Amino acid sequence: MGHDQGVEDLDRFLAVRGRDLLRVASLLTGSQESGEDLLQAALERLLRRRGHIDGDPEGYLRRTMYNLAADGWRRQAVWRSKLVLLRVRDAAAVRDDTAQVDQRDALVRLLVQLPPRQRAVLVLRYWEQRTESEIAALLGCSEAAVKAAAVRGLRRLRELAGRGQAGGRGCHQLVATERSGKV
Amino acid sequence: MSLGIEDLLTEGMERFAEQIPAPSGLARRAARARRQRRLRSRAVAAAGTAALAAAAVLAATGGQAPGTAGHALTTAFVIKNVDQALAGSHKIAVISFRAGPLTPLPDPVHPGIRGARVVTWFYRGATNNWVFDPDGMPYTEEQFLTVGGVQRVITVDYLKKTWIQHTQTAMEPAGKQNGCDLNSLGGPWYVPPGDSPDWPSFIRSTLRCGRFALAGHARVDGVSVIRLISTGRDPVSLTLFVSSSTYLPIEVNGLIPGASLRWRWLAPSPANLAKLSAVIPHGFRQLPDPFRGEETPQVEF
Repeated sequence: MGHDQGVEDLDRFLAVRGRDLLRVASLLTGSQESGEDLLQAALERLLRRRGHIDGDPEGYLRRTMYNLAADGWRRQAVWRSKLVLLRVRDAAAVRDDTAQVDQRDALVRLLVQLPPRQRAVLVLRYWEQRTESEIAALLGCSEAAVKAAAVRGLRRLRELAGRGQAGGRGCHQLVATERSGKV
Repeated sequence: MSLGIEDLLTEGMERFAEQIPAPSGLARRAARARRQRRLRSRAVAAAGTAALAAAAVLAATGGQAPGTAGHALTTAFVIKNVDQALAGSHKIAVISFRAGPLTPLPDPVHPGIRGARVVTWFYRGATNNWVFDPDGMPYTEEQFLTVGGVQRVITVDYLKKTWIQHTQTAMEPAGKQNGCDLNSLGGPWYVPPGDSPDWPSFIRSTLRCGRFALAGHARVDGVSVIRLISTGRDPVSLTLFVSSSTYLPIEVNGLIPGASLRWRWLAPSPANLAKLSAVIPHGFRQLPDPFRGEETPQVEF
């Protein structure tokens, strides 16, 4: 009874907040499918600890997702990361044919090639619009570490875009427009 | 207007996130997965205790195995775990069906022509069905894509080098397999066009009925598996391989009246997902929809 009630409560909560949480999880993992897995892993932890969590579970779920993602969640699942890279390459091949390449989309696809901690910091900073001190508190590290991860992450994104790893022309355009200050 | 990489990234994330729908059933999935994990932990602990007990029995009987009682207990243990794994599974994604050449299979497009091999791919409302000749060349490819009760069908005729596309109302799903007979309801290998096979309920019900017995360990594609063979005097004989670690089914080999079959559950990799799309070869001519003018359902695909 208590167990089913807990699951039903969680169902109701997800009906309202689930989409936002899945969006964050998908950005952290690079795909909706992997995002669902990440959110599910966080929900499992929430169910395990539900006696210890008071009130709104959203904060706990977000913290858990960010920490799982930053710690290289399922780092043993090598095939999964390869799969994401394959998807990036496949998508790139298609885009080359279309000529209508969106630089913003290309940049988000490149996110999956960053180390997990850098990716988590960039999602927190530029999607959730969190401050460096908030990110540091969430991930349990210093502000300096957050700052360094953000700088390295952005630098790596620029490098990847420059190499055109996610779609050739689109990313070269991105670097070129950034240099010229036009979009 | 000038935008830096940070602004582009923010906008890109917004565009990406717009496409993400609300999740459905995740809380229940998480609860099931958690139950499974707890059961697995208990099973590991129980297996350790059982090993100690078995060693004690062997010592007491001078090295003779206790025989049937121990075997029945192990089979029941495996069956219970397969059942639990299936209850929480949502990743059995791509299934391939392969019928052997013992009985040539009718081609749905060319009356009188019989295929030597049929390969069908299933994944979330999409089905792609191939009929091949004895040399492995395709006679026909039929792709079904079901969205909201409406089915889009693309049929490629390799003999006439033509293709047709039309929509139709999706068939009612086949009834669930709940009986103990391996061949009841035709078994999950007789799948109506465009429908999805219900292997989970088939495996669950036949395992519960005791229609499989443990037949040792093996390896399939480098994965350690437990082998289960069907028992009884059915005209159907099946060998089921389940993963030793997750207890999810990996493969089914078997004989059904007049044909052999091989089912495999595969990861939804880009290469495997590509098998679900109908590819129209260059130069093939599109024929008009033969059902045009009739009342056909409309839906965005």
